[in-house]
Amino acid sequence: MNALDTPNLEQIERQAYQTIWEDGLIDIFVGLALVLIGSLWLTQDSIYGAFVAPVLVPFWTVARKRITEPRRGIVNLSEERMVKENKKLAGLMLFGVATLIIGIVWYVIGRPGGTPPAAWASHIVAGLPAVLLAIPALIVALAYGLKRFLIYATALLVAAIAVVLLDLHPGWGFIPGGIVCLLLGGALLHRFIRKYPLTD
Amino acid sequence: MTTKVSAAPLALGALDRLIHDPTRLMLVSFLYVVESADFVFLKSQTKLTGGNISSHMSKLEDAGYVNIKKRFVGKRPQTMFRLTKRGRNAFEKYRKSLHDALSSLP
Repeated sequence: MNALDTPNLEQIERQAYQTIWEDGLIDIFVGLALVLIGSLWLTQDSIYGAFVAPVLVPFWTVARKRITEPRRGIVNLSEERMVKENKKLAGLMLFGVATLIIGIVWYVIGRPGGTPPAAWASHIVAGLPAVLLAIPALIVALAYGLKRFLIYATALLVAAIAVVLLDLHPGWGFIPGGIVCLLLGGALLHRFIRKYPLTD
Repeated sequence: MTTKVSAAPLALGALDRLIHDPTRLMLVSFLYVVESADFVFLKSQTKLTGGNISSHMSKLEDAGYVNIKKRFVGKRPQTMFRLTKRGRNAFEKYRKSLHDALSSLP
């Protein structure tokens, strides 16, 4: 918008809101989390993956303070927008908790000595973790209007199918999606830094 | 003989000139749709110069339309702007007046 444009308030609000996501940091941290969870699962135990997100969140906050805020500035969204965002976040968290419960149940069932799942089920279930992550990615894409999350959801779904068809370790379902997130996030961050250079 | 006179010119003349300035209109529009924003954000989004923002914000602050809070975050100064209740009302009134005036034009 420049000084001669007619102010369209909805457009201005949307512009202010979308600046929150244009730094690519969320993509980088989601990508990093997916690659780490997938790698940990491949090399060690899936349970360590549960600690990845809580460990990364403070780094994301610091990165926003150090990279985003000095360049793009700070904006506190309207109360109306925050109520809407909190509802979306609550829905996503609910989904996250449900996913965690499914994961724990699956982990317990899959343990040696646990109830062995049917052969066909164990075959298909290997792709389930990636599908469970593709769903929130899809929700984020639709709820937050972030179309790039459709790409991440697709990458996770493709990886899930590959895991099932090629009979791979479930950890491989996370890594390609994570790499796509990291690459796109890196490109977005690069563009962000060029768009908003540091000024005194 | 009576002449039908449009009310539009009169209504346009009654517009709040403090808000009607294009630069201030842009700044007030940004602040209207958010809770608050800092100097860097307004500068990055409007592409205005720092001096320009400061001078217009001072005028808006003098009129009681904008609340300005300055503080330091580490070594960096941070100036937050927020539209006051009076500023919000004035902007809403301005929009209505402008809309009415333009609608009544032949």
